[in-house]
Amino acid sequence: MDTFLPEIKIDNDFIHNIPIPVAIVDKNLIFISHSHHWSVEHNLGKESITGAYFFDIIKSFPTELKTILEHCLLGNSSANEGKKFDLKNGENLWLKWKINPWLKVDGRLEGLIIVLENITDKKEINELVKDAQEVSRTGGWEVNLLNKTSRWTKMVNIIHEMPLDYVPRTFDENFAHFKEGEHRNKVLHAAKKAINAGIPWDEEVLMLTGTRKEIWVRTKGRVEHNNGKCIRLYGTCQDIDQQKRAELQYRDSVRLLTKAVTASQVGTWEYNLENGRTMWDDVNFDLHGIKKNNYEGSLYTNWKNSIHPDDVDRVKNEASLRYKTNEKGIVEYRVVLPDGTIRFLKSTVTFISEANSSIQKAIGISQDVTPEKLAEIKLKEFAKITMEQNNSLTNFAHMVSHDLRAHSTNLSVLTALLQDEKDENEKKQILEMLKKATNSLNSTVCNLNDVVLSTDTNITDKIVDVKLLEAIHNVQNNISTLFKEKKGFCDIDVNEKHSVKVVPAYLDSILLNLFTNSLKYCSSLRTPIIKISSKYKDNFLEFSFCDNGRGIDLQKFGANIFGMNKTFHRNKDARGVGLYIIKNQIEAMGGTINVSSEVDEGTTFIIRFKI
Amino acid sequence: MQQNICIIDDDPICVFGIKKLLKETNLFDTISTHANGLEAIQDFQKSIDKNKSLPSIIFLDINMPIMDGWEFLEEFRKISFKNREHVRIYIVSSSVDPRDLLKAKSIIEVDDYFIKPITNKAIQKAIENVNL
Repeated sequence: MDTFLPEIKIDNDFIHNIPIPVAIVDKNLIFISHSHHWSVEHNLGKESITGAYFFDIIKSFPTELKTILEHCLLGNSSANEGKKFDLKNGENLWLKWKINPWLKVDGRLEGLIIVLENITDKKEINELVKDAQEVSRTGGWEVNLLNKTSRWTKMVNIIHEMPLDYVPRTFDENFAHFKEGEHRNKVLHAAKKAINAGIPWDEEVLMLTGTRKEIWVRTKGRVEHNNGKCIRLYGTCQDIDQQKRAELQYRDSVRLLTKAVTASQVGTWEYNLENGRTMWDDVNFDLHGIKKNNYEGSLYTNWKNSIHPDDVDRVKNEASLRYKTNEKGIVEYRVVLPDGTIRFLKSTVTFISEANSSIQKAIGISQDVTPEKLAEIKLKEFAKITMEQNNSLTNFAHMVSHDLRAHSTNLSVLTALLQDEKDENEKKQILEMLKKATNSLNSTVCNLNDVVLSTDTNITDKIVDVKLLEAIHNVQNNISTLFKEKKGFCDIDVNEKHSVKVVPAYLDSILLNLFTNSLKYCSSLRTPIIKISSKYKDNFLEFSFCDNGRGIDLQKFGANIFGMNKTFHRNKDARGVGLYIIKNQIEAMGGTINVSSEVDEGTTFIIRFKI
Repeated sequence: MQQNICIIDDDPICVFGIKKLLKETNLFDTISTHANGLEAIQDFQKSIDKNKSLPSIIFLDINMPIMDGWEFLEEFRKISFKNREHVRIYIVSSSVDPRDLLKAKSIIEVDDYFIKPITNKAIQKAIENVNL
């Protein structure tokens, strides 16, 4: 071989320093010389390969390459910007080459000059970029401001639904695809700012595709300056139609929900059971009368302080029970607003656990139910009054029917007997009874009338100041006969200046009832003594009426003593109805009556009159 | 065997009426009357102490002072069954209150409930039921 070398005249140092991967081989594909880049490019190390066979050195190269090299040895050139080879181990190999035959002046082939690059890495990155563009539907574009030409990557054409060979022919055509008006103006404005001030843009706008379809795109752009002059505009174009429409839809529904929540005055809140973090929306702050941006201490403390004092303990218990059991439900409570008004709130709570974590949250809504609550309270009051009145009416109806029936029955029996009776003496006796019966009927009607009057609450204009002591003396005089008969005795300790606000007739009726009851039901073992006293107490005059009579078994009759149920015996001095009447009269005048009694010891009535 | 009849009512006119009707039957040796339940119970106690039998028929009013008809029935039940076994009790009241009628039905000692004025027919019915 040495004999050939002078003839070939190759400067090895020169070739070694050529900055591309180049090698020179002879006709038998034996290396004659190569550049340093060649060794680096093909991972050959520092050892010299001069004199070695091409495929001994680079064994991994595909056999197709051998075919190409052999073709070149016939005097042909070969060039490729990048060809993919499938290797036996399944990997890809990308090669880029330029091969020229090395010809002598006389046209004799001496060997080959090979420039061979392994561009596998570069190619694979490019493939990746291409894939990425397709997956993300992102394309690149540029406008050369010097010669006004544009370039688009294929993806930009695809997004625009334009033919793949289309490129904008003028500068303005680059913007013609954006929707006219707000959207196009936005991009034009951004481009102007980029050209003039170098500010990059990133906008989401609507555009019209080649098929006149409206889609959302994200356009990003920036500029390149050279010597203070803007020479290039470039950027990306991304199809974000699906995401954008979903986002807009979501925003719309959020806006709707917010509107609905705000309009319905429903407050929402969230409480993290693990770390105690609490979140409230604006409405919830309003409902509790707490200023969102101006409260001190924890939200929990503020919430607790806003609750009506009578409800705090109950609400705290109910809340902690719910947090313990995670049972959803409703807690109702009152809050006291800063101006002192009371608001009824209904809080509905439910529990959620976040996916893949043990974090438990309580979420809930609060509603102002004040009008409903007030209406409910009023309704309950009305229902109670109605029920009471209904009861009284039923009792009254039965009382009337019973008592009037008793007398009418007697009258009819007696008249029938009178008709059939022949005996004059008997007749006389029956007539006597008839007289009694009519008297009883009369007094019963009077009694019933009193009952009706006593339930009349419209008496305000009849109320006057009456000296209690005077009224007592009057009634005492009226029943002096009864006092004498029973040998009764009075111990009166009432200040003559004590006066009460009453209907005078009612006061007389009350006193008369108390006196006659005491005397009628006096004990046969003792002299009847009635002790009367009065004193002022809490804006009332408290009047005590105490006897030493037979007493009432309150355990047996306590519940009914002032009622109508057990009342009204035919004899007109029966106790029951009298108490019913005076209770009604006292209450109609705004007073109260209470009784205490021991059987065989006596009875004490405590009556409070308004003063 | 001596047949006694007893009227417990505070209304003398009522008592007079029932007595008139009973006398027409000529079936009874004695007719006793009491103005309230307590008087009657005390009288019954005396009879039992003296080994005398109780009345065969009682006409009982409900609304009376001191001890009413219902209270009387409660006390009556305390008398040993042997002594009261043959006693028939008829309530005679002017009350048409359905609550009173229901209450009377629920008491086994009560045989019937007559609404005033008591009629001849009712008296006959009461007498027929008694084993004379």
